Amino acid sequence: MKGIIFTEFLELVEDKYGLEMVDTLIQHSKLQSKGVYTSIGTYQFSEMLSLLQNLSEGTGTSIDRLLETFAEHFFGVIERTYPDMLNAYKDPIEMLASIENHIHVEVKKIYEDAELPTFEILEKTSDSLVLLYKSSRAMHHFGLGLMNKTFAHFNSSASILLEKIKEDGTEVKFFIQKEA
Amino acid sequence: MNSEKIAILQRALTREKAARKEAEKILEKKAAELYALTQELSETNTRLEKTIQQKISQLQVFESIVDAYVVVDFNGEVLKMNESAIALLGYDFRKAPVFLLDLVEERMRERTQNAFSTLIKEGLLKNFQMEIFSKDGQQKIVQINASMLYDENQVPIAAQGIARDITQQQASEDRLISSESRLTTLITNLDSGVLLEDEQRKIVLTNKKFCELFSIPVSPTEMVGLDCSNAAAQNKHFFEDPAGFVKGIDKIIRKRKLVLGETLAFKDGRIFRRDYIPIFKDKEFQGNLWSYKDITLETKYQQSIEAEKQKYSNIIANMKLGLLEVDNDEKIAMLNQSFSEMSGYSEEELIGKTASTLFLEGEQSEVNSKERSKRNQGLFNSYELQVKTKQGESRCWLISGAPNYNLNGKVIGSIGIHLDITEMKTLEVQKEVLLKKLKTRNAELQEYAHIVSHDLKSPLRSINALVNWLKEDNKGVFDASSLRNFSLIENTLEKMENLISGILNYSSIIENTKKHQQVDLNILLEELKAITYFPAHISLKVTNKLPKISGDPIRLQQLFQNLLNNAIQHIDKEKGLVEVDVVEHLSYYQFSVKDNGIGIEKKYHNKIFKIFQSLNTHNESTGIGLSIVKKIVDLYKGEIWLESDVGVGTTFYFTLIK
Repeated sequence: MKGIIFTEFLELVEDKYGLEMVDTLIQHSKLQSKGVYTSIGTYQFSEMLSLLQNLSEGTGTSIDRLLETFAEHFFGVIERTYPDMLNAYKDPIEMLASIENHIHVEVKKIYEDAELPTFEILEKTSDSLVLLYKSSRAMHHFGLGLMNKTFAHFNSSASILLEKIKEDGTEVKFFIQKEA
Repeated sequence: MNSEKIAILQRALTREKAARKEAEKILEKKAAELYALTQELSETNTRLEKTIQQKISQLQVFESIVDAYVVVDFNGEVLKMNESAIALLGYDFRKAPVFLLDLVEERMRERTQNAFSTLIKEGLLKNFQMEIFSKDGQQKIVQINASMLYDENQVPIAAQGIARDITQQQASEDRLISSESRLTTLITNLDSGVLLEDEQRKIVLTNKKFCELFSIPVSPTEMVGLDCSNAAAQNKHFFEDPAGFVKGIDKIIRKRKLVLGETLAFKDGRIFRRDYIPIFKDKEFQGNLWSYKDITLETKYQQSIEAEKQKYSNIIANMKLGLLEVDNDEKIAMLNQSFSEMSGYSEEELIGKTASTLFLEGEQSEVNSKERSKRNQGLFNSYELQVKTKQGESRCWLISGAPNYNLNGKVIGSIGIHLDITEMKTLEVQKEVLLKKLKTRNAELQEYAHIVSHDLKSPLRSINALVNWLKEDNKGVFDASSLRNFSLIENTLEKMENLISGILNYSSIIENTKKHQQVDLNILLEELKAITYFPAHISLKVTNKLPKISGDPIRLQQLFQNLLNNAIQHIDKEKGLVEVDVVEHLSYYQFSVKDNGIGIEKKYHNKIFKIFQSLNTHNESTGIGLSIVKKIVDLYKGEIWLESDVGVGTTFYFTLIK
């Protein structure tokens, strides 16, 4: 998993819960990297899982909720770092529909070893979209957070429903309905 | 700050440091990777530059190519041109600026400019044809292939083009088209029916005549594209041998070999000549070309000519005359069987040989060449030649020659007809010899008769004289019996003399038409009456007026005189009468001399005309008179016969041609 995810995650934890929480997480999670992350490095996904697990336990917040919050924060990173990519779109549905064909292609160019989920388009109208999420990471709520922020970015809002196709969350259907 | 907080911060600091170091390490690694990439890039650049250099040198290759090569800028000004281009256009950019548009005629400028814009926009211009005027004012048609030239940043900098002079090509294409249209017109109006099929047997071209010949009710243009696979079966009913026609076509189509001059007989009596030409292009089969021509008339002519020829050939082969044809060098070109038999040489031995050297010797050759030169002047001639046959036999040939002309009326030799007249010649010579001999013999005989009669008469006269002398000298001495004997001797002597005179007369009767003249028989009879001794009791009566006759007066006198004498001698009645009469017939006169004498028995009627045949012992009868009569009548191609009643009289009839 890309280092920027870890650094941004720990930064968010530090913002929300203080440096103590960051220290506690690192102390309690058995991390191969010992919590030493740099945005340009690459680290084990299991480390993220441990961090999330411990944060959830330490704060009493569900992992899904944590991921959603982290995603909303992370969207700000994207807005800052890659504004051109977002400017290429005028509509949130269009942008979400082109995750697979455009955005992930661009991501692969920058991070050639990135392991990305797939978003298969099942249905699409001008204001609705049904996507099938597939990833061994089961980080569907990270996606949900990014999607919410996407609508917000275009001054729009949407109701997004999730339906787990597989219980472990590795396959999830997203029903996205843009709100007028 | 409590120690707990310090520991947390220290740990965080340691982590940050470690993270920085790791980041640095990663960055260094990235930098190294970047350096390697840069190196690689610079190598690629070098390679690229080399490629560009090659491209440029290829441009120089263009300069030396055979076709005209021109590089122009965006204004159409020539930046570069090769020798071919200078030769084509007549302008040289090294001497004065050359603008492409200046070469184009005013009215063509817009089109040219459009093409140039297309070239700039699309980078390529293919097979663009335009008319230009070279410096010397010649109009040329050129075909242009052009492309843009770019700098290293792919910015177009100029246009390059190859111009090919296709003026000649265009002209030959035009000529091709016009010759094609001429050919089509020619085929359309051809007197032969033409059918051209492609390899699928679909009609490509046919003409009016073809439709006429096969009574096809549509026009030739409507026939194009029709399938001919079944045409033979559909049209076979036209032909005398329908199955054979279909089979023949199938065979030809299968073989795809040239078949010329086939004749096809139609049921309606027409005869066609068919030519088949398979069409191949580069050994690849392209189709069938059929040509039909109605040759009914020609065939009939030809057949009758053939029959005539056969007839005359038969005549020539079978005629008994030798036929020989020679060329102007006297080389034998043709002969018939008879000539071969005449000459003793076979046909093979004669053809191509010189006739005169084979057959002629010495002066005969000169005669021959003289006659031949006459023929060369176009004259007909006929002459005799002494020739030598193969067996060395000398023969005489009568040759009738005529000059032989070719179709252009030029003498190409002569034809001679040869008749072997050796036998005839011999006969003629024999006849001449015989005639000569006969003449001499006749003369001799006449002379002999004269001599004989003269010589015989003189001893007779001597005997007569001696007998008279004996009678004179012994007058009164001889008794009556002796005197009677003397008288008998005298009578016998007289008879003997008459006999001799008769023979002389008889032998001198020879036809001589030179002495013929118109003889009035009335006058002739008057004269005869005067000179002939008529006893008193005998009278002559000419019953009708006698005609005039063409003949020898002496012979005619002999004829009548002998008949009159014969009548007088045999009259035993007291009053004798001799009647002469004539009856005119269409082509002859029938004369009669009638007496009332003793008459002649039937059995003697033929005998009396023979010489020395006398029925009585009358003193004056020599038995020659009627022989002379018969001989003269024969001479004048008449007939003589008699009617007689013994004791009553005799009538002699004879005819003389008018």
